[in-house]
Amino acid sequence: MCIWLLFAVLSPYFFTQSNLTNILVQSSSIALLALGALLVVIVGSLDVSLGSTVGFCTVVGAVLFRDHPELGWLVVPVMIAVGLAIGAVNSLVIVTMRIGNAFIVTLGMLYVVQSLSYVVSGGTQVPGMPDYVLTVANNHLFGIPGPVILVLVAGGLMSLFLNRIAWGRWVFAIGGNAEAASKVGIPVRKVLFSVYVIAGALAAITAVLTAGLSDAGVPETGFSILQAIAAVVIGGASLNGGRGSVWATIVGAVILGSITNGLVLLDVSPNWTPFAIGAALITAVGLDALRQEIERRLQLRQAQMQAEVS
Amino acid sequence: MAGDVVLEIDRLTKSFGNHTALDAVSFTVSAGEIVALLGDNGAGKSTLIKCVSGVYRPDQGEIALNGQRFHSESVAGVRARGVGVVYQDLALFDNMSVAENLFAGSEPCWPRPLRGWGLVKRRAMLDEARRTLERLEVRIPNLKTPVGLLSGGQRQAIAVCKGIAFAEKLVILDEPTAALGLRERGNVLRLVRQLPAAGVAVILVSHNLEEVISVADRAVILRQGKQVGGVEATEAQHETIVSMIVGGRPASGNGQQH
Ligand SMILES: Nc1ncnc2c1ncn2[C@@H]1O[C@H](COP(=O)(O)OP(=O)(O)O)[C@@H](O)[C@H]1O
Ligand SMILES: [Mg+2]
Repeated sequence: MCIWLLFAVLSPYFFTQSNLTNILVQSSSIALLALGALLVVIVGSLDVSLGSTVGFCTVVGAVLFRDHPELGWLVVPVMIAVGLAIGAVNSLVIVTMRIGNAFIVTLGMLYVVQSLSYVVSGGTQVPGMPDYVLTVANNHLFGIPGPVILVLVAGGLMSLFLNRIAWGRWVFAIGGNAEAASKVGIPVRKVLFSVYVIAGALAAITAVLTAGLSDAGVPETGFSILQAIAAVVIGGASLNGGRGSVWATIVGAVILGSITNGLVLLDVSPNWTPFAIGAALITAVGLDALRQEIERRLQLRQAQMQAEVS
Repeated sequence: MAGDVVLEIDRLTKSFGNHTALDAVSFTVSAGEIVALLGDNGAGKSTLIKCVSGVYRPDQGEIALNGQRFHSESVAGVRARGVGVVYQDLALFDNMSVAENLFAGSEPCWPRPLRGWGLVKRRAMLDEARRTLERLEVRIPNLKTPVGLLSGGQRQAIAVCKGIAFAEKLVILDEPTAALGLRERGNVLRLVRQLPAAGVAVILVSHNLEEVISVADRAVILRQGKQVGGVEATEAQHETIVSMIVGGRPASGNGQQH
């Protein structure tokens, strides 16, 4: 909030409708990716392989379209399938085979998948995406840009899943107390398995968006996941699991997008952008800790008062 | 007073590594009966409970619930047979509401056949939670409060309600009063005493012998995973029970089964 006010004061252009739309579109891919990261964070884990999964999916889609232009309709289904498959590999290693800590396994996958995307693409951009992908990414519906609609729809579905569907509530339950979850008969390992797979699917949907925006398959390092996790944390989720919100996460992504955008408008060297993002992240975490401490004291006070009354 | 046998435990054995936490323990519990499960820390009481509730898979032995025998069963399967458990660590979700905690793992869903993938009927869940807590005379002002913000006594009360509210055959309580003050302890014991009248069988783990003698019909005593005795839970047996728990000099009734 403060960030927005600051930019608005410093640059009159910041709060124009076209610039705000700009920010939303620029934030959309991080927001989508953050939804996948959020799911894993709520269950009490981290998946850093989601970023390179995005790159790999775009590359696979672009290569498929380059080599078989007549199979354009197949591009998106294949990209989604690749995302699901990478998620399933994560699940298999972490949940089924129980090899090591989830963060380490997905860190390994980050590099494996990153490498695959360089191999498949030959290390360069692969231009060209089917028309319908370009349309989703670059056109408007009722005056709303396609990427924004995509984020809103994905956010709505995720919110429905996490807040209203039993399976989604179990994700929160496991993140809150995994041992208790198994004691009340929640199928803990099935839920965990599904979490990495759904996150992989969200990475693939992010890939459809980024490929549409750049009209190409772009092999990338996959470090975009770090910004997505930052958005999740700025959105108030706890890395201990059990706490997190879909809409706050999207707002977190938009805040990060605003910082990038605002600094550009103010003619600050882009070299400073990561600095500002890092500072914002640390400030957000600090404020959240402060908020929790205050809440805890208020609760204690209340409990003491109740005890005195009775 | 006691009716049909609800639970039969037959030579139940469970080891962790080379440590035998439970060594061929056998006893039965009948409808309308309260059986105390006693023993020092580490005697294997919680392990026995987790074997019955489906959390652990026993190494050997069998369990029969309502006459149906099995070696091991899933947590959901055991619950479906009318068993409710109050765990020593409460097994609550601090990040979730009171109502959600009562129903966690068995949320009312629509449409029902979808089970985990159905919509949670939040209204119905809230209403049912309110009715349940009223019936058990447990007062929690707001059922949407996250459980983590409640007092120790309230948390314990919710764990107990969750364990007994939907169990028609057998209720198992693992040290449900250990962390409570006098008044809260009285509330929990009141709930336990109401169960036999409804034909429910009860297993109560407790360290407080006065409490055990006041509510239980019988006591089964474990020591280092072995069953060292079973006696009437009366004031007259107080000394016997104590000596069975701590070991040392052999007591009358040692090794005897009901
Ligand atoms: N999950 C476990 N892994 C390894 N050892 C365990 C586990 N649970 C219990 N034990 C061991 O089994 C023994 C019995 O424990 P427990 O059943 O909790 O005792 P009680 O509830 O009677 O105090 C103890 O020695 C304990 O250390
Ligand atoms: Mg115990």
